[in-house]
Amino acid sequence: MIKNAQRRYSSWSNQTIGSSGSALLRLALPLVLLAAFFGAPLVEAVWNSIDGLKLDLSRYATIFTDPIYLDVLVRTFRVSAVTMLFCIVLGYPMAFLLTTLSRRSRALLVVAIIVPLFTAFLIRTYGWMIILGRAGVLNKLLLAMGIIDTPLRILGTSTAVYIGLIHVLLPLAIFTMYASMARIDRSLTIAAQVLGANPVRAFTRVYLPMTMPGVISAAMLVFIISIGFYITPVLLGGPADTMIAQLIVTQVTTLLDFPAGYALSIVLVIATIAVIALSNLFVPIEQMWALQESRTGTKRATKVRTLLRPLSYMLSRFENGAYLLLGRPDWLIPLCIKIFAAGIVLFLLAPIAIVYFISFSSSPYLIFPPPGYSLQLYAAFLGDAAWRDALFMSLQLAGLAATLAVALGALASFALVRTPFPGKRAVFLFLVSPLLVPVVVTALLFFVSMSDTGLLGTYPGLVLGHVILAIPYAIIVLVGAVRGLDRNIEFASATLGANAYTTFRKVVLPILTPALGVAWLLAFLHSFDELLVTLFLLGRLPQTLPIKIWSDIRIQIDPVISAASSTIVTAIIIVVVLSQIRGFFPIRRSAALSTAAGEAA
Amino acid sequence: MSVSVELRELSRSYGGNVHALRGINLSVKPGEFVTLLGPSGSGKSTILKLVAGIDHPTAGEILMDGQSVIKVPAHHRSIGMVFQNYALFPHMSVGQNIEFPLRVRDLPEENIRKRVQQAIETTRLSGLEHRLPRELSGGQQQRVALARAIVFDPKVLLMDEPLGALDRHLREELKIEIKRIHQSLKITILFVTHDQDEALLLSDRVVVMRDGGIEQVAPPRELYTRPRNRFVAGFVGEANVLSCTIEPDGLYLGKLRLPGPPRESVSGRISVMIRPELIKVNEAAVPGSIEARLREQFFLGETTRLIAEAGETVISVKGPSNSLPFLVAGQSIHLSWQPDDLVILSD
Repeated sequence: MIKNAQRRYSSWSNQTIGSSGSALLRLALPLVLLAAFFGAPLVEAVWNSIDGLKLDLSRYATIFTDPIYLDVLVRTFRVSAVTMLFCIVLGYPMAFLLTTLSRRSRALLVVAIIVPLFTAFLIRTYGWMIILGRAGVLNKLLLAMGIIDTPLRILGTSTAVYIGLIHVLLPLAIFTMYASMARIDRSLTIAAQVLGANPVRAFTRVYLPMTMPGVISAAMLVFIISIGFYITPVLLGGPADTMIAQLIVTQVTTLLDFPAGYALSIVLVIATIAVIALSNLFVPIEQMWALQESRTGTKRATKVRTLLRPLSYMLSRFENGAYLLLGRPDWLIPLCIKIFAAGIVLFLLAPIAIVYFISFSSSPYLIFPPPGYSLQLYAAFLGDAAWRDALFMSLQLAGLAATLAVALGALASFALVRTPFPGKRAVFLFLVSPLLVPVVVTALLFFVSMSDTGLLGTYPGLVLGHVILAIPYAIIVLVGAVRGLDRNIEFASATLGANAYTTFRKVVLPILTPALGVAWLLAFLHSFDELLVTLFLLGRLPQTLPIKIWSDIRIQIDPVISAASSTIVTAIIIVVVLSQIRGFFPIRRSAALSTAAGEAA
Repeated sequence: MSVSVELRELSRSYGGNVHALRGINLSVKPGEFVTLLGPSGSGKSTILKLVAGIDHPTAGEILMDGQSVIKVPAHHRSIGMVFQNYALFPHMSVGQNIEFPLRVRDLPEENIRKRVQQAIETTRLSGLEHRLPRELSGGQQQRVALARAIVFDPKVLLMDEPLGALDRHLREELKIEIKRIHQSLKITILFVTHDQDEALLLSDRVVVMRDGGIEQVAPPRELYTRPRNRFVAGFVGEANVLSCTIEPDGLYLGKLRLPGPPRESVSGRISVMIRPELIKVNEAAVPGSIEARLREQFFLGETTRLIAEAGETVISVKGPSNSLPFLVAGQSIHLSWQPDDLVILSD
């Protein structure tokens, strides 16, 4: 009898998607791809870095003793820590401001932050090169205003690297913190004030602790992306600003010392895992992408607060002082935040605006201010077969990769949400791990495994690389969407007479369409902007747009790049503005969006 | 066209240990309105899911018009269901939601239009056809869910706490509307609720459930006046449950002899129940009354509630305010009732 029922049970469960036992098959393809081109070569890299059974740890010893390596290592962590600090300090008021705005002003501010977020790192960095150069916009302005007499040297220094990194990662930090702040009940701070806390104290004792999970997530994301960053330090920094990613690329591509490159990569991966593990103690990693309800007030956090109690008296004095200084007049703090926000928006949009400005220059050289205005750079961009081919190559590659990634990611998401199986969290983390591991490591792993399988330098190999990188974006967006799918709606459809296929086509698919669109767009943008993996896998294939821009920037700062960039940014702006108008991106999902867009260095 | 529904030894367990339903037997007549009443977790919603075919029993049979439907998938059962959160399709307009069951059956356009129009009139939704569900109030969404569930002339209508999410005023209004629709369509309805007022007002029969089992099945009046056990007595209406002992000469609450002879010849401990509103308050002793001390009294407008202590036992009394004598807390009163109103509970 029971056996009978069990059989019936499985035949019943086929009526809704993702609940059947065969759902595990839906996970199989992405898992196999990831294992073959990411997991296996990672193990191989560890193996080779110690010469296998010889357990030769000398390469690691070198990294931690050789002053050259050590220098780069320490610098990488210092730069990442400073960048993280700036992103949090600058981003927190912005995220807070977003929660206080009306729907319309928020949409406007979101556009101003999302546009830079979705603009390729390469383009943004190019904008900074124009601004910070010796004869750049900033120097020209300062000279004209008489503030300085001789041009400042900014490009090629660590200042430029910091500016570039903070610019790249600030939107990500803002959205990650906003996602957690938006869930906080504002009446709690009001309750604190009713209970006798002054506004400053209500903020430090009630609001701030509740936003800590968001702050920790943002700090972790910024840090792990920083330590693996490639483009910005290479283009904006000098030889003294080398970071680990550059060192790995040099070891592998110039010195062809693969074991050394492996060892460096492993160090980078271990550092990343350590940071993730540390932040995971306080905030579960899924929560970063708003995939899990936030649990403020964990036991650990309570423990930390208990330990800090002796400081409480000093804190109280500080709070009272701050309130006296800032509290009156009561328009002061809001005004400061608004001025600050205007400054941040200016900072975020400056390089993009400059790229636009330059693109209308009539000069074939990069001169600021332009001697005249014309569309000749656009004509050069669209008239040049090399640029055109690169554009089509990129569109085709990104379209194909995004479509495959979304298809695989959607199947995997149904299995991840709806099928109970042991080790689900581990499978999820493995599937999104290309998002967490520095891209330079991923690129190296792809390079090794693709050359082993003869896929290196082939179009399928390149597509495969882009698909594996894009699957995490699809999964993060779609797991959230599938989780939000009300099971009763499918049940209702069944009771109303629709079979499983009709239910999927007429009910589930239309409801998921916005999320599928977002996932596809993110995957597309990521693939369209991708530089490092493409550099490793391209071989003799035709250049993609980022590769073309990259190689041109390194030879000379060709102003045609600005026309190419402006074209791309215009497309992004149109999509972002349309999406804001149509409510295509629910803002709650921004954390997922921003993480997704934030990783392409 | 309404049909009978019969559940035989219906069980549903999860993972062998959690028993949502334990051997349910229930027979619903064609056109009958049966309410499943019980606290959350009692298994009432599980029964609906099993009948609808969106969940499957671990054992037992479901018969509709005498035919087993166990192997029939949900989309072939022709059962209308109104979900607790309505489960309206968010991407479809009101009209599209309502016509969905007809479209998936590929009915002719003319027929679809006529039936949708009829369902919209029955549920008084005219003029809202082009709105999206999120543009409707809770009460309107509920009507759409109802219209969608009845538009294809289902054999049985299942309703899972359909009024739970609505405010009190709307609930009253929709209760009456559901009753009206039941009477005009003459459809078999299985209705789930944890609200006893809904159950008493709407049903032909009420099934009281607890822990996956049935405690009592009875028409509303019988359920109220003759609850079978302590649980039903407490769940439906308000009850004074008194632990008594049976002696040869009558029923004793402690040392007090209660009005009303024991109906059973067993002796020993027994639980009896008397409704608060059936207790009469006397200032002086009358034959068969028991003495009690008035602890508190609460004026509630139309009625007044008294809390009295008879020995160790607290007894609640409710009566029309204008017929109660003037009383002072702490004074001695005498409680009496019709012997027939005392109900002996099975546990």
